[in-house]
Amino acid sequence: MIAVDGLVRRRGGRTVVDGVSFTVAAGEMVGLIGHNGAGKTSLIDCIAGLARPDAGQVRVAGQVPGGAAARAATGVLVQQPGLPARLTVAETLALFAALHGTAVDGALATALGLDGLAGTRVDRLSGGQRQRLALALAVQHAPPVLVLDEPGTALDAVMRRDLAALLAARRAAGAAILLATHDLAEAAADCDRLLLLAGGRLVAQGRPADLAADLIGMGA
Amino acid sequence: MRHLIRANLLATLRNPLALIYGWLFPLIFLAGFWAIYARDPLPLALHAGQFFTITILGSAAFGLPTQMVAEREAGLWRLYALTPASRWRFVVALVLARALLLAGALLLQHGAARLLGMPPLPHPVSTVLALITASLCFLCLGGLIGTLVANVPAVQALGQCIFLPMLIIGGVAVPLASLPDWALPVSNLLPGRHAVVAIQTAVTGTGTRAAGFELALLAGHGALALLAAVLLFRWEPGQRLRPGWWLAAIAAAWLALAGLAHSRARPVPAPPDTAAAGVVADYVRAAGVAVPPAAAPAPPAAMAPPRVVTAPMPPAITAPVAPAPVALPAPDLDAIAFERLPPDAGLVAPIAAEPPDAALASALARIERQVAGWPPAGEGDAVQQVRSLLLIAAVPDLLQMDPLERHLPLLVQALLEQRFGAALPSLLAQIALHPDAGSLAARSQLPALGLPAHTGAQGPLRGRVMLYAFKLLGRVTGRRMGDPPPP
Repeated sequence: MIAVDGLVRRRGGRTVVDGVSFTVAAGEMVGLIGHNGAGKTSLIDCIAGLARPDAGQVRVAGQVPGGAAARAATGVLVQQPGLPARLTVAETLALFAALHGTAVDGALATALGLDGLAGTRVDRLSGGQRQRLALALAVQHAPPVLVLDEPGTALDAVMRRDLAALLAARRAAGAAILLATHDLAEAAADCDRLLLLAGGRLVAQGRPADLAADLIGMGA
Repeated sequence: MRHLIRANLLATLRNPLALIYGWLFPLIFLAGFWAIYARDPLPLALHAGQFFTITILGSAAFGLPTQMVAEREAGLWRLYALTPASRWRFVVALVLARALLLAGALLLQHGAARLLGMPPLPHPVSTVLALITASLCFLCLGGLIGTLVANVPAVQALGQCIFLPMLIIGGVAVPLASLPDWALPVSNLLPGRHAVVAIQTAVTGTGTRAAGFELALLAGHGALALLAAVLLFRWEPGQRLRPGWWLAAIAAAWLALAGLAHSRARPVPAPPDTAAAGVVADYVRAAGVAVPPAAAPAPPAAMAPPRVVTAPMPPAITAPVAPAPVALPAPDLDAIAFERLPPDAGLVAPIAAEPPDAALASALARIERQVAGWPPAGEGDAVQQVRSLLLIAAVPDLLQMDPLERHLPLLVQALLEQRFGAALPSLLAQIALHPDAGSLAARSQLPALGLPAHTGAQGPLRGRVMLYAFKLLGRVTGRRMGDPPPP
């Protein structure tokens, strides 16, 4: 569902993603691990169609990222999403559902603890509430591909557990999930495979159990 | 699309600053115009094109692009970019949502203008069409500004670069008649001038057809701006603009539009017509005027001083009498100084010497048809009926509805000759020599003819009625058929 081949991305004359290749199959959850500046967000931007690769190619659900078909097939959670400040939670969910041509997923809103916030304006939400709303926007159109950048940010332990359950359910439903995170333990617990990115290069990949010792040794 | 429009509307309506800038400021501009042009023959109507265009320009050059850039900087558009909706939908939704907000501002401004005395719109449909076309044109330009600039301060900079030239040398805030010669060709290249003409023609002119060229120019400017805005559109602040060959094509189309506007430029309208019409004594000879009195005759000796306007004239006819037969004896035409009347080619009480063009002829034919069912044309005695019909020429003259104002007197003359025949000279003389008599109530019913109502002081209007009565009297009696040939 996600196929990245020899991806190169440069910013400001610096190569931030350097020849990265990997795939994420349907029903698979893959963790993307790396320090700040390792190139995770640049890589995700290319997969989400927010940035164009300087070399190599990316396919999402068989489509070039950025096109309408690829965007419809992908649910993306970006870091610090710019939510519509003056709309309520319900209005925001309805707007993005309409833009994806679907209806609001009430069960998802309940699972993310948003049903009690329906009438609250987005600019009055806490950081965790905003993150939950952003997650709902990424997931509510039930895309076959999920690309999530630090989804656990600002979430408390309970919500992290609920998030893990939600992602497991989506994976079970056949979604391909790429999850970028700092949290090695979380990634190791939830993901089928891990990709270790350092200095824009993919330095290691494999099952969590196989890589855990190496990753811990590298200080990831 | 409607969800995006709704979201944009909700976001703006919940932003108090946006409402203050968008809805309150236009009322302040309006009050400014009202104060500055307090001496106009009627309140505000002669400047409607200007103040409506300023409101539209303010929303387009600052309101829309500021919203676009602020949302883009906040990362909202990055989120929109992840949905399958196209950039066309986003840009069009932004423009339409802002157009709806602008419609609210224009409605408020129009309501306030009416409260300040502006007459009702004679062509509401044409006015709405002109406002919609101008709004969409400038909002598309605003969309292009929002696409081009990187941050909110840059909106102010680029917005001012577009807003101020149109205001100052584009005929929007400073009337074209006040501009130096070098600025006039420049003003023709800017859509602000065309917006003012299109709106003004709807408010005090003959409606859409007369401003069809300007409306087409505005539509062209808007379409090109929208195309450029969509093609250059960027979802994120750091995203580079990606101009292509099509940008040169758009620029070429823009130049062609500018050339077309330049080649078919309208003449610059004359400054506001606030000239005095003079008084009756200005147009009668010292020997006196032997107009038979409707009531008791005035002593002839009292007519001697040529500049005296009071005693010499017979009493005015004020009470309604039977419209026909008219029993007024023929006036002493030798006592009327037709040569002293303002020239037909001048600013005051003009009469056309050339035939109307096709668009004007169509407007005149429409007015002629509508006069047949116009109630004031049949109300009161014959003198009052003629007076009411003369308003059809006098009000457009006072409002400077060029070129209509120069042709309407000929239409009125034809109507009067048809209706009153041989009695017409006496009726015209009665009105010319008694300008303060009778009712001008018909001035409020002119919108039924597609002409603006007159709501200002009666004095200037009575002066124009007097002048046209004298001029038509000269024409129907063969005493003054037009301006004398130049020496």
